[in-house]
Amino acid sequence: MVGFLQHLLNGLLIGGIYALMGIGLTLIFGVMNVVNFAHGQFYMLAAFAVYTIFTLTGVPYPMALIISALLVALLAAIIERLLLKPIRNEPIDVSMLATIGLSIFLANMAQIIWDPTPKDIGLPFSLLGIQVGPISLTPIRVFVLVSALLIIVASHLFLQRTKVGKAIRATFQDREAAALMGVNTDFINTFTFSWGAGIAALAGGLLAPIFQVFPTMGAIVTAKSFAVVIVGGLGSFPGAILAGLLLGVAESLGAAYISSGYRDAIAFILIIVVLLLRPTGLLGKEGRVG
Amino acid sequence: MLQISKVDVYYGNVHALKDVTLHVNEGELVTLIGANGAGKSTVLKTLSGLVEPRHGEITFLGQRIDGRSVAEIVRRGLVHCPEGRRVFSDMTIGDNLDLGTYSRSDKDQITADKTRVFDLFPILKERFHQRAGILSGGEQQMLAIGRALLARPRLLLLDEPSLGLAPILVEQIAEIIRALHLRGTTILLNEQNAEMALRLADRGYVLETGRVVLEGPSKDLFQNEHVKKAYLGG
Amino acid sequence: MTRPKEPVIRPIQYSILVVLAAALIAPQVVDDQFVVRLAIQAGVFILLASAHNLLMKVGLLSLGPVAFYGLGAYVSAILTTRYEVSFLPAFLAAGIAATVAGWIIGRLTLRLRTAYFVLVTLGFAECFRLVALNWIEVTNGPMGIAAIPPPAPWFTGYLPYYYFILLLVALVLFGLYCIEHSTIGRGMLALRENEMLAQSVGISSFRYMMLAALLSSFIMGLAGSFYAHFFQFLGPEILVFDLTITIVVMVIAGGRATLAGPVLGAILFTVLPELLRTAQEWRMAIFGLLLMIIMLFMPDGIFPTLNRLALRLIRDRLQRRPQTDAISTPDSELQVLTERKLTLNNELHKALSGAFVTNGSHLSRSNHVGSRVRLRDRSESLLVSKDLCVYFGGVHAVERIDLEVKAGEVLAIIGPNGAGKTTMLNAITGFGPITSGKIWYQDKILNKLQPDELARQGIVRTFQQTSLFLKVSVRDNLVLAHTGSEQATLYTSLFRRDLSRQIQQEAEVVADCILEFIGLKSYGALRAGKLPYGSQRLLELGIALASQPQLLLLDEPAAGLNPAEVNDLISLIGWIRDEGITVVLVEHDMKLVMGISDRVVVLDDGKKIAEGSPDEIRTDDRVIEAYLGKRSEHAPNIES
Repeated sequence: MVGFLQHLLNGLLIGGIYALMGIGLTLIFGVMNVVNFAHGQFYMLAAFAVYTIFTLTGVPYPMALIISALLVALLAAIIERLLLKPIRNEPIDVSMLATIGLSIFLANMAQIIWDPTPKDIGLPFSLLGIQVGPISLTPIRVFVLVSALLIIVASHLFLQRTKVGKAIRATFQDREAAALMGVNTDFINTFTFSWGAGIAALAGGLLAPIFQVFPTMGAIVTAKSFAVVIVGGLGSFPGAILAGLLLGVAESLGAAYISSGYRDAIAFILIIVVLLLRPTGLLGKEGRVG
Repeated sequence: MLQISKVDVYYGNVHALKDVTLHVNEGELVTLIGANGAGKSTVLKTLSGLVEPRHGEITFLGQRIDGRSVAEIVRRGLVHCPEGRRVFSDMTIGDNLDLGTYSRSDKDQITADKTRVFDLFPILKERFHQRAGILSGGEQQMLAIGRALLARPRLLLLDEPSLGLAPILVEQIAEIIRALHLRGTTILLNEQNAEMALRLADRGYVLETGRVVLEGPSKDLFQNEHVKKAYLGG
Repeated sequence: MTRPKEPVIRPIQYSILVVLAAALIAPQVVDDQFVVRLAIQAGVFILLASAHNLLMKVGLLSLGPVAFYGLGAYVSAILTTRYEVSFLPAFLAAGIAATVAGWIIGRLTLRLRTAYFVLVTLGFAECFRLVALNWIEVTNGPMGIAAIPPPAPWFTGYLPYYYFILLLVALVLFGLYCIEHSTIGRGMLALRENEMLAQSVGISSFRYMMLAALLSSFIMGLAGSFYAHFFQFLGPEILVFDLTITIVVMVIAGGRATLAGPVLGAILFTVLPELLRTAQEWRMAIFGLLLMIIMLFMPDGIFPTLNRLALRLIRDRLQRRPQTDAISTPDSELQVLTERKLTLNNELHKALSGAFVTNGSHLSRSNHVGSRVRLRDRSESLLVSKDLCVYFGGVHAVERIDLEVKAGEVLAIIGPNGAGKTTMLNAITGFGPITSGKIWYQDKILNKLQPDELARQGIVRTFQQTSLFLKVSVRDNLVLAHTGSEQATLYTSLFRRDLSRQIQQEAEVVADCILEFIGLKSYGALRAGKLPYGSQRLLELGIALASQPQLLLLDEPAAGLNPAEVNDLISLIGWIRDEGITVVLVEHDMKLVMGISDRVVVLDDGKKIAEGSPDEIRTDDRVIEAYLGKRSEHAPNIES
């Protein structure tokens, strides 16, 4: 029973990160309607940035995390301007192929810049677990979970309550009408994409100390992000959270009790099952993609 | 207030507006009539900055606005209420109206203006928290106009407000437009329903295939043989 | 069929023969084994790229090709190594296994939208890889299957493999060519250009997509088997995503949806990396960069773009403007309309009634001519709905409506916005849901049918928003529209090319007749996207007519037309009725409704509130109140 609870908790912690990835992708896929196959690469790049900054300079971990996220967000802004903006009005498969190309390019460039061997970031937190009842919690995992929750809540509030948040929602419902209200839609596009990428970057930076980082980790993260968004329902924040946690727990329990070789397949199986049985996801509205 | 001189607009290779010249004086209600594809919407889109003219000049309140960004043109007081309502259906009425004020920062005036919009359209206040998507066509048109009004327009461009509305609602919208005009808002109106448009307007321009073919006081246009045959149903 | 983007130059056919001859002789002349091996590799990729391109032709982007390729390879390898099956049956089994897998996956996923389809195919491929890696009993896991026998004992050296792959490539490419120039090819083009419109004229998107998926997986399965017996070792490392990307790049760069594109792309991207001797690690990065650059600047592909540029240069050099540009868009709507010849002739009548029969095409016509019973008696019901209800969430869009459409009449459905008119139209034509109630069409229940099935039964609709095959010429729009009523089989496309040609000619004759009827004859070669608005709406009507409807449903056809054009529409609809076609009209424009309708049905708030002749309706109190002059409680306060 203890083992089960431990696996459950681990699953929830990973799930929190998956939820974060899902939120970021919901913004880009659900709101902007851009099928961003490179989403996981932002995660990977931030993890490497944290690793590089942390090992080269002595900058404390939280600082390295924020700097990495900002750098990746900046990169995303540049990508949005150079790659996505020119093809904005093309049919959807053009942007899909473009982001597929981007994903491959980034992953392979990372492999060339940092070599393919997995890297360990020295843990900035104590390794010792705190005993909470029957379960062991390491401070880093608590930090990760709390940070993830904060980021999600902040993002939701931003989107719903602030002027820019409303402008974002308006722009992606009806671009021309929003422009006629005086909204600078180009800026909104760049901002939203950066924001989504920035969240992915934070996720990557948060997980970096827990797991190893290697250049090819981006692709599977992208797949899992899509799984979260699809299972949760397009454009739904609560859906992404629920689905993220669900995926994390499913993987953790599945790997422990069934087989660890097929662990990564769980995300794909979820995608397939949900799309076939309930395409709008658990909490989503009518899907707009395609 | 507004002067368009010899404007040419192209959509790719299609010559949508040919050498168009027209003007609107402060306080007037001027209408553009013509068939779909004649260029009326293009004129409005060119004014609001969605489309850029290849030749010609557009002057608003003494300053050139052709080539300027949409956001800037809105800030100067030229507000375009687009064709087909175009309300943000997944957002509440309140959020929709808030977006109307996006380009403004004068908080006190905004509150006063909102009150006035609610007076004009009480249904919007009633349904403040509802999603705009479930409103009927006529209610959406009211929301669209209210939203445009909240941007504090010096010149309001109304693009086909009667489109797709049942005849009873068309009358209502016409009444609203007349009321706005009487209150002093300068309006440039696009309408396929030429009868309604000419009844409301002081002056009118007739566009055919991108060219201004007739202009004058609406009384005269009403009597004009060609207008009667082509647009007033003979 | 005229295609503005792909010029048909006679020399192409000669050069193909030359290339073929060269390919046959080459390995005898060229001594370098490395080159021959490279050619074999290129051959495999040509098969893979062409197969993958089939999916692109119907507008499907798949990231799962390795699954079918791998499946074919594994099936063939396992059968020959473990069960001692000889090559040919194993080869065919590979193809069949892949086809079955394609069928299963297709059934499950084809109805998904684009982005989801991409993800699901990726998912299947990845799952397949994991299975190959982990299911050690069958696949030997990471150790792979070794000592796979050659296709025949005398297959020594590279030459036999070279000729084998050459044969496969030639057969596959020829087959694809035949398909392209047949009903199936046109159907695929229509679906790719505008799926909804294609469905409304009877082109079944599911059927064509499934066909593409089956053919595609079959070819890939065969290619996989070839690979296994050529390489003679097979491991899960061939199932990597890199291979998928390589195939995708080949198709995209070469020019998707064209025939030559994947071939050129396959050759280019097999040969180029070898020539440049780029390090393996840079190869994928470059592919990624290439994909981005192509999408930014040449989304049609490198070769089609270069082709277009070259042609334009040649044209400009010769100072001859192409035909499409020389046709100036009509200066005035009225001018277009007066050009129409107002005579109905025999040809037109035949075209509209679907009785067109040319020598030997009985086969294609007999089926659906028989199924179209011309009802001349006006009291017979053509379409009946009973207790029809359509609810969306909490909204009762259509509430228990009983409707009867009599054969040969023009029925107008009017009502305020939101009354349920379009919802009803969608329900009848299969484009929208039916919550409860039934709809009969000539004693057949319609409820569960798809739009394309309904169209093939003779129920065709137009759309409120302009819906055309924009990138295709006006005339070809009509040819494509006819495709839905053609009997298309793979057998005909591949083995009865004479019949294919006949069907095409027929379609072109029908297209010409209708072109004249709607008055757009002189704009036949113009790209549909360049027509002025009024002409576009006429073309939409023509498209609906080209699919030989029995019941024509028009959704606000007068929207955006000026009074003169509306008059013309009245005449057109009158002639259509005279041809025996029943017309249902959803409209706001009273002039049109009063001018042409035999009967009028009035809807309000989802319910039918009145029904009768135009005059009766005009004076009906309930109608006047609901539609023409009721004071709404939501009237704005004007006094402030």
